[in-house]
Amino acid sequence: MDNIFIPGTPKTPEVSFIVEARTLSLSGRSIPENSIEFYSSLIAWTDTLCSSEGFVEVNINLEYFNTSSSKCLMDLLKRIESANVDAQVNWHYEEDDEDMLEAGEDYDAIIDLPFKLIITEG
Amino acid sequence: MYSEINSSTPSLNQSSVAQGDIIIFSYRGVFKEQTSTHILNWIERYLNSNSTVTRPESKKIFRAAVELIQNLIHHSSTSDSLFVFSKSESENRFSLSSTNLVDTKQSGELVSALCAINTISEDELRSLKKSVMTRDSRSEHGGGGMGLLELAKLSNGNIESELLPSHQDKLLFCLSVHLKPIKA
Repeated sequence: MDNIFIPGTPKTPEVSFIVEARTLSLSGRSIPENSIEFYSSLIAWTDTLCSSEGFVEVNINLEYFNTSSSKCLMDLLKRIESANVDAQVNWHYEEDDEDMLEAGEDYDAIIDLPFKLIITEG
Repeated sequence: MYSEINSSTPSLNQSSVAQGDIIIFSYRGVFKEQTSTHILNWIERYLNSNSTVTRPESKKIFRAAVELIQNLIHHSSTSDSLFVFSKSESENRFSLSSTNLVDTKQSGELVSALCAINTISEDELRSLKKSVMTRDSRSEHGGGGMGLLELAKLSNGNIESELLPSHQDKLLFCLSVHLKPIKA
């Protein structure tokens, strides 16, 4: 199982999924036209990681994400939720960005994982 | 940005831009992935260079533009569509409008979705969005039909829509999203 590093683009997030640290980090923006294509390999990677026990840390620090990506993020988090692992989700949002704060609160309400909502400077 | 068009959709210009609004940007043509990249870059540059728009407002407008434009790509990739970004100084708002052809068959579904969105409160809208997010089903393009809900949420329900007769089994679907306020 390899680490995944994908540089960010104007439409896709920077991805840093690290096996040893068991951390999944997404940052930047996630507004691709076809988010399923982008996220399918990341979800498969998550499944493999979560097949072994251990703590998993998820860091989401997105400036923008479209509704299609929001479903993919939901899929990814649900995979972790249903796996036999302890996990923590760190949801970063810019100060004054109520939409991103609400999105984090909504995921927190839906997904049964510890969520930390973290303010970042705009 | 402007794309030459043929005359197969003569009433496409009947967009829902309100009288008196100042058009900041408009594009008429076929919407592809590359088109969306150019338009979104343009809008982002405009918003970043406009000192009267705060960052939270700018992000809201950009998010709405993403949903509206990607909706055009997904549902109208083979025929001309119209996208207009405008502002109304008298009403202190920015507006994003799209006009595209839809099958008459689709119109009922569209009308009932929009009616439902327009009659519910902000909290109900958020709950509805959460319930769509948790559904396993997706629409053909992955969002599960969440685009309109997101637009309604971003605009606090300030959405207007209209279906106009076009030709044969097609209707023109005009959708406008109004975002307030513009800080002086």
